[in-house]
Amino acid sequence: MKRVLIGVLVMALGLAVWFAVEAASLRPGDNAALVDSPATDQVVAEVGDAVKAVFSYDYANFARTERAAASVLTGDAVGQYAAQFASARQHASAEKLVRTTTVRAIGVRTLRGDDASLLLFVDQQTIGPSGAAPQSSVAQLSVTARRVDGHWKLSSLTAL
Amino acid sequence: MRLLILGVVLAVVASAFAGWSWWRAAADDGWARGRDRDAVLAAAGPSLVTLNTIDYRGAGADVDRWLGVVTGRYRDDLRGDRQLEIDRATSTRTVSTASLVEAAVTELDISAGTARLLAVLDVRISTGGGASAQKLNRLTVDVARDGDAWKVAGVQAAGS
Repeated sequence: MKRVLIGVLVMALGLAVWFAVEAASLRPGDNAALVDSPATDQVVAEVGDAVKAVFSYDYANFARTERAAASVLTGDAVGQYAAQFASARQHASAEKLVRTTTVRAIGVRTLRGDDASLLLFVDQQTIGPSGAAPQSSVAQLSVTARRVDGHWKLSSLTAL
Repeated sequence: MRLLILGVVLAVVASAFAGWSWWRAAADDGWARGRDRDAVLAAAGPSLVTLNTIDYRGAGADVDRWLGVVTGRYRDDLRGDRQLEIDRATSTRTVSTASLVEAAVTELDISAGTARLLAVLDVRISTGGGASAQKLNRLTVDVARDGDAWKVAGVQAAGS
């Protein structure tokens, strides 16, 4: 009797370990990117809009870009952006430039709770004073975003 | 003896619970999407590196490696151009290496077995025995399930 019970015990423990290992191997972790579609769509839409807003400017109306930056940047991104924007602003004022940034493609790499990381392909068109031909450029951005009060803000910006 | 019976009961309960979590992990649609997303990324990175790797001194083997990571019409096209690709690499003495900088899945259709992703690739190409030139390629990549593997079904440069 005792032997049988020990046999059953060993077998049940063995099965428990095997099943647990199999279950763990099927678990993709806690990354909700593309798994939670509404949440993925929200971070895509809000981060796309934020990037468009902070990387577009009009030499005649920097206040609009600054307002956008104040509302969609947080954490490290604030300082990273301020340094970049100061030099862009100086150049744009001197040259009377209007820059329009569009998001060509955007993908969510990770989405965990209120933190996300994304990859963006952006196109930029810069128009100078009348007569000058528009200049086009492209950039690849790796950004992290953080959800604050229900809305996604950019928390770091890295040009690849 | 009583302790042994208790142990058997606990072990049986544990194995039943582990078996149930295995079943649930396998049946969960969200987890299946997460696993496919990770599988797409895990397959696409090395495949893109392979497709941008060639050495004119062994171009035949390199192009055959390309054929191993692609599927569908893309494979048919590449197979048709096999000799052309080899001749081109040989005549220009091309040596190309690549590494994946960053990638993100943007679309995932499990039932169709297709996905799309964004990838930034760091490619170094040298021709004619000269120094290698570095270039960042930004790509949109279609992948498709081929048997139990994900393979590249198409690559487009995203206007870089």
